Amino acid sequence: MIRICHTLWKSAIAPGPFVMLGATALAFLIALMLAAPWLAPHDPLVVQMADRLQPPSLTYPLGTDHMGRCVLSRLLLGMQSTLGVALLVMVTVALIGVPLGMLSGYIGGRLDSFLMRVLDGAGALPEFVVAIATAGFLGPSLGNLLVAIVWVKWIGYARTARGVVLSERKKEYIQAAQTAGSGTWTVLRRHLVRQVLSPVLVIGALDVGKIMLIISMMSYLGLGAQPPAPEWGAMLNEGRPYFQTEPQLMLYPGLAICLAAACFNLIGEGLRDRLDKRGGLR
Amino acid sequence: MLVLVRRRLLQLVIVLFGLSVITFVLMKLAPGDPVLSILRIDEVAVTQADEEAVREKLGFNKPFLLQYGEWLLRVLKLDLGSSYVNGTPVLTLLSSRLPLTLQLTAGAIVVMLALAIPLGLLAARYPGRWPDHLCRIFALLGASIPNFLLGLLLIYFLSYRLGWLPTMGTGGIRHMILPSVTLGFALAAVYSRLLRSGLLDSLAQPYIRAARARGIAGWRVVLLHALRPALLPMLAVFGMSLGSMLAGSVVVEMLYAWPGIGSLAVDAVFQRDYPVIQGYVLLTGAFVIIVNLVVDVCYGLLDPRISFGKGDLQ
Amino acid sequence: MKPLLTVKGLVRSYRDGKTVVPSVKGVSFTIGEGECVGLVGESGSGKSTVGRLLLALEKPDQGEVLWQGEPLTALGSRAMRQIRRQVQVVFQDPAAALNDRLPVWRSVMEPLDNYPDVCPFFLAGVRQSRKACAAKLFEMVGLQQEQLDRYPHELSGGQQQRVCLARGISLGPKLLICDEPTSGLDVTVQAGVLKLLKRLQRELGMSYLFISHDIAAVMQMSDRILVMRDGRIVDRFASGCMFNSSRHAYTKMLVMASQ
Repeated sequence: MIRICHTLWKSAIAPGPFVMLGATALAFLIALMLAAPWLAPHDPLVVQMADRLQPPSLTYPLGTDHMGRCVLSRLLLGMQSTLGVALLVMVTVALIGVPLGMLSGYIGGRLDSFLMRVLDGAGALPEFVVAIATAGFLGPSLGNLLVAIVWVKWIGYARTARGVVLSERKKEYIQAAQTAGSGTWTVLRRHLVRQVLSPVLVIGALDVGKIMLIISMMSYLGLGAQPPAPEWGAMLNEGRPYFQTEPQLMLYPGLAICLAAACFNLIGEGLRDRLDKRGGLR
Repeated sequence: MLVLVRRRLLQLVIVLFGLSVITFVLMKLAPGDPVLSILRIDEVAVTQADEEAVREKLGFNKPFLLQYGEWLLRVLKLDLGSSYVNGTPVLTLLSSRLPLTLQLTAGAIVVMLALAIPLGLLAARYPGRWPDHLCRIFALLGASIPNFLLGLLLIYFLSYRLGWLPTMGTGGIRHMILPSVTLGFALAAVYSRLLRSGLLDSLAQPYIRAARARGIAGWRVVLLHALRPALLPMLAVFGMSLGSMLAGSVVVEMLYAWPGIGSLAVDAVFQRDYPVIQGYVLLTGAFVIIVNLVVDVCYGLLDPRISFGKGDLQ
Repeated sequence: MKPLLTVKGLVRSYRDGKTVVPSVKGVSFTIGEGECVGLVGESGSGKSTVGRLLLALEKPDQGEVLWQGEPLTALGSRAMRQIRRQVQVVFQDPAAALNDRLPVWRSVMEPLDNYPDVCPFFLAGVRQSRKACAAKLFEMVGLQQEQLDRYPHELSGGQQQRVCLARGISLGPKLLICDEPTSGLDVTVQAGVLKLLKRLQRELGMSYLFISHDIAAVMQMSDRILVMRDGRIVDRFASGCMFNSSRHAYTKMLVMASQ
C-alpha cells in the first residue's frame, strides 16, 4: 500500500493545493469517523422524549431531534453509513470493474466483445432507475440500494481500465516485457496496474462523492437507509416535519453531506487536472 | 453513417431486451404475493377459489418463459397492466403525469443554460482570474450540494422566510421557479466547466490564433469563432445528464409536491404497487436509452471528425 | 559457422479492413553464432515484422523459424520459454520501450525477475541481490549508479536506450535483435551507442540481427548484410563487398542515397 502511494506520488501525480486541501479535510473526516464511537457524547439511538427538540446545550452540543436523540452523536456515528459505506462501495466496485476491464482489454478477442456487450447493456440504464427498480421490487433498504449502485458503477471502472490497457498495449514496452518472458499476469500486474491506477483514482474520488449523494438522496426519499439508522440522508428525512420551526435538524446533516462530498470532489478534480496536463487521461 | 445508425439500432434492441428481462425478473423476485395484494384491494375475505381464479387470470400458473413471452407481448402493445392500488391503467397514470415532469425538466434546462453559458464564457475569457475561480467554486458547490438540501434552503429562505415564491404544487410560472432552479443547479455546474474547457480548447486552435492575429479581439473571438465548436462536447454529455436529471426530478417532485412521474414512482414503491414501478422503470429506461441513441447520431452528424465504421468502438 | 538461427520462407500479412496487405513475402536467411547480420530496407519493407516474427511476438502465416535446428512452432511452452530468453531485443523508441511508471532499474531487472534461475557469467557474485545486478548492468552499458532509481522521463534518449540495452543483455542472450536502435537518437549520441553495441557483442559473444534503414550504421556493425524491399530479400553480401559492381540496383540506390 505504502509502495503504491509512493509510486503514485513520484510517477504520476504530485498533488496540487486543491488536492492537498481536500485530502487534509478528508483525513480529518475519516479520523472523526473512526473515533466517533468514543467522541459521541450519547448513544445515537436512545430516545429521550422528555428532551425532544432541545436547543444546543452543554449536554447536547447540537441540540436534540424530535425523539430527543443527540444530533451531534447521530451526525458522528452517521458518518459510517454515509461516508464509510460510500468508500466501501467505491473500493468494491473498483475491485470488480478494474480487473475485468484490464483482462478484457489485454486479451481482447471474444472475451472483449462479450464484455463490451455487457457494458453497453448494463451501462445503458442510469443508476438511479436501477436503484428505484431494486428498491421497488426488492423493498427499500440500504443493502438493496448498495447492490443497485454496485451493479451500475462497476461499468465505469471496467471501461476506464479497458481503455487504458488498449492504448498501452500497443506500446513497445509491452512487447519488450513479453520478450523478457513476462506472461499475461505478470504484464498486467507489473506494467498495466500502475498505468490504470491514476485514472481509476480520479474517477474513484469523484465517484465516492456521487455515491454518497445518491445514498443520502435515496435515504432522504425513504428508499435507502431506514430509520432509526443515523444515516445523514435519513436524518434529513426524519427532520422534514419540523422543517419550519427546527430547520437545523435538516441543515446539519445536509451540510455534513455537502462538506464530505466537496472533499472528494476537490481531490478528484485536482487529480484530474494534473493528469490531463500530463496527458495521462484520454 | 448508416453503419453507425444500424449498429446503434441493433444495440438499442439488445439493451431494451435486457431492460425488459431485468424488469421482469425483478418483478418475479419481488417479495409478497401480488395475487393477494390484488384481492385485498376489495377488502373482502379471500377464499382459495378466488385466489386460484386470479392466478389463472394473470397466467401465474404457466411456465416462466411463457409468462415472460406473454408479458413482453403485452408491453409491446403498451399494455402495462393496472395499478394494484386503484386499478387505473398504468399507461394512463404515466401519460397523465409525464407532461409535468417534462415541463420541470425543460425548466431545469433553461436554468442550466442561463447559468452555465455566462459562467463558462466568463471563465474561458478570463482563465486564472476571478471569474474563473468563481466558476470553479460554483462547480464544486454544484457537484457537492445534495439537491434536496439546496431545495430545502431555497424553500426556507425564499418561500418561508421571505414569502416570495410558492413552496409546492403546480400552477403558473411562479410555481416553476424553485423546482427548476433546484434541478438545474447541479447540471449548470457541470456544464459551465464543460463549456469552459471546450472554449479553452478551441481558443488554443490555430485558426483562433489566426483570427486574433487579424485583430479580431476579445469577446468577438470567443462568441463568433470559439463558441460553436465548444458546444459540441456539451451535447455529447447531454445524454448522460438525462439520467441524473431524472434522478433529480424524483427528489424535486417529492420536495415540492410536484405531481410528475417521479413522485408517482416513489409513492408506488411505498405502496408496493409493482405494475406502476415496472411502468416507470420501462418508460424512463427506454427514454434514456433512446435519447442517448439520438444524441450519439446527432453528434456524429455534427462532428465530421468522428469516423464511422470500424474505429469508433474504442 | 554453425547456424544459430535459420529462417525459411517466412510469410506474414496483415488485415486492413477487408484487404490483406502482405508485409513479409517469403524471407529466408541464417544467423551464425557470434555473427552480426544487418537487415537494411526502407520503412515499410517488412524488416521490423521479420524482427517481431523472430521474437515470437507474432506467428508467421507460412514458413518457419529454426533455433539451433529446432522449429519454434513445434516447441512446447516450457521449451519455448527457454529459447525466448536466448533471444532478446532493443527497440527503436526507447521512451516507448520503457514503462514510464517504473523506475528504470525495475525495467532492467524484468528479464532476470522472470528467470530467477538464470545467471549469466557477468553477473556471477551479484545475482542474489537485485539492486546489485542492476548496478552491474548499468555499469556495463555506461550508466551511473545514481540513475538506477530514475524514471524514464528523467533520462535523455541516449541514456534511455542504454537502459533498454542493459535489459536486452541481462539474460546473457545468444541473439540480440536490434530494431533500429539508433534511429530515434541524435547523431552525436548514435556513435556512442553503436560503439557500445560493438563492444558488448565482443565481450559477451552475442549474435546480432541489426535492423536499420541507415546503411552506414549497418555497414559499421555487420559482418553480412541483407537488403530487403517490399517483403523480400533482394540482395545479400558480406559487408566488405558493399561497393562491388555486382550489387543489386536497389542496394546501389540505397548506398547512393546515403552519401
